[in-house]
Amino acid sequence: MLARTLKAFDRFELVFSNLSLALLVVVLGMQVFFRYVLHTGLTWSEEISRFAFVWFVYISASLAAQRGTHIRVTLFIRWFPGGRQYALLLADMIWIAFNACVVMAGVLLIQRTLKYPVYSTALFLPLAWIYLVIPLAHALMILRILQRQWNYWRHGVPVVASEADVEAAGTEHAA
Amino acid sequence: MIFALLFLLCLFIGVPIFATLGVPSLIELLMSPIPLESLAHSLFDGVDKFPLLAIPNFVLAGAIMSRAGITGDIIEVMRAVVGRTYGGLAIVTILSCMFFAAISGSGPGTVAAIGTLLIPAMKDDGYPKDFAAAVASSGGTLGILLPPSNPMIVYGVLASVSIGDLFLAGLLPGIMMGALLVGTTWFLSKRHGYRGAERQFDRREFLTALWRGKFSLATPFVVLGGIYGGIFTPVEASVVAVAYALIVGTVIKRSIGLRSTWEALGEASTVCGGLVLIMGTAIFFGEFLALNMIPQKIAAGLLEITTDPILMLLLIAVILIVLGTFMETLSTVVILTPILLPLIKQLGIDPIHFGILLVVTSEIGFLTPPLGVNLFVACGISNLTIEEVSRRVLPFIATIILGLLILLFFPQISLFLLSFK
Repeated sequence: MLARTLKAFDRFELVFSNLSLALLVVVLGMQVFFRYVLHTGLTWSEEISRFAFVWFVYISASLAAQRGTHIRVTLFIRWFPGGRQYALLLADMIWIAFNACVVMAGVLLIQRTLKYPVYSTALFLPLAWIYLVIPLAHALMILRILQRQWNYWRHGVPVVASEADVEAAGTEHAA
Repeated sequence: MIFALLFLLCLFIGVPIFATLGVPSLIELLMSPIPLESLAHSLFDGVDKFPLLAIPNFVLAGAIMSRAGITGDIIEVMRAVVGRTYGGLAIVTILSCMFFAAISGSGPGTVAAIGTLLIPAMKDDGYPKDFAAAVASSGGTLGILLPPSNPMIVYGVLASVSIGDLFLAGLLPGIMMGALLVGTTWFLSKRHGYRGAERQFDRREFLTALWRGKFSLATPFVVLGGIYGGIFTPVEASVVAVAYALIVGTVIKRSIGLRSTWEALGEASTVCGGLVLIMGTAIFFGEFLALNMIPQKIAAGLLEITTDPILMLLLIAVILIVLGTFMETLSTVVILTPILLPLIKQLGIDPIHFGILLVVTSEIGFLTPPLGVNLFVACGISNLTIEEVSRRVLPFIATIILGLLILLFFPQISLFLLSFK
């Protein structure tokens, strides 16, 4: 049971971002269809697609954290005292600290918008619920960063995914 | 000063770019009376921008097209056109990249789509594998110059320039750069005697390929025609591209189903995951820069070196090429646009012209190690090392630099089409 839940959780970001991307494509497709074929505008399509996009961006960012594909400058870390793995450990700690501040900021923002409700212009959705993605995704990202570091120190899986490919290509050729 | 050091420290020990941009701004925020929650608000607002929606859609459209075999159709037609000249299949690669670039907004995406099919084909045809990989990496750089283009969308949002105008301005430079790359490919092939086993140009074969691939070949015209004709906004065009690819793939060619579509969605999620959220902290970072007058200070420093617009652009180009060797394209655009734009405007340089130059220097960044994303993709496809491919890529880098200089001295090439608006 626990194992199955964990496995499902491993696919959470992928499934969620795929679905939100599909949603935004469908909604925008409807907007185009209504405007150019039926010659009437939709009032809500832009807002829904924008919100779906923001959720897509931040949840897929957690997907990128899980896969180690966030963009970093890795040229200089080889000269870090102790080696590159310590540079990446320190970098990830700074990253976690930053994300923790974002989670706090997000919770504060949601608290305020719950107390003094603000609604979106077209659909009157309470913005507090839309803002939820900021703390949620950054908290998820913290988990994924820890997971990747754990996998490195425990199983030797590289923290930065592209390095794995480059190094593998290099050794393969040398051999 | 402390903030600059902190920023550089984060950058150089490998903190992801989006957090690197956020850290100095966050510390300043914590020391100011502004409430912390404004950070969450900025992150939301930075991404909540309608034009950005085009980025994942164009990536998705490209992913669907490769799975549906649309890319393969385009290549078949190009093969029939080029026939048996020197470097035939290598020229086919560049031309196919141009076609694909007019659908996709990404450089590495173009290398992946075209290179996966053509690097093995070139090798079977007797071309050295490192040359094949170098041609595909170089052709792939056109992905961001020929519209649509992800860096242009990001630049347009940050610089408040019309993305439609940028797309129009990129067309002639893109075609020119494609022609220059074809020239280099032909010249190198002739010098080394690379000539494949392709057949003589045959009109019938060409017409058959053209007829068979008609729906696939129409894709760029649907996408760009819609934007240039003023029918669609770039975001709408990106959705039309997705819908068109899906219709061709499911109804006409019957080559994809739900599973491939789901895989294409997954590819778009993975590619965009580390990318678009940079815009969230970029806005925050831009406010931080402006508050501390950093663009003005850097502008003053650069203006002491020269006040001549051409020399300034050359100086900036050199800085960008150096940064491009170890920084990823979109991050360079995101970091440098707010820093350089006031200076550009002060010198009376057209921001659209500057945007095109920024994109062309980013093309060079795709090809220069240690961080040359196009090289990584081509190496992945061909199982070669970065060193082997990067040596063969040098003449192409020289070609793009030549193109950059032409565009820099003749802004008319970028701005010509805009005068018809």
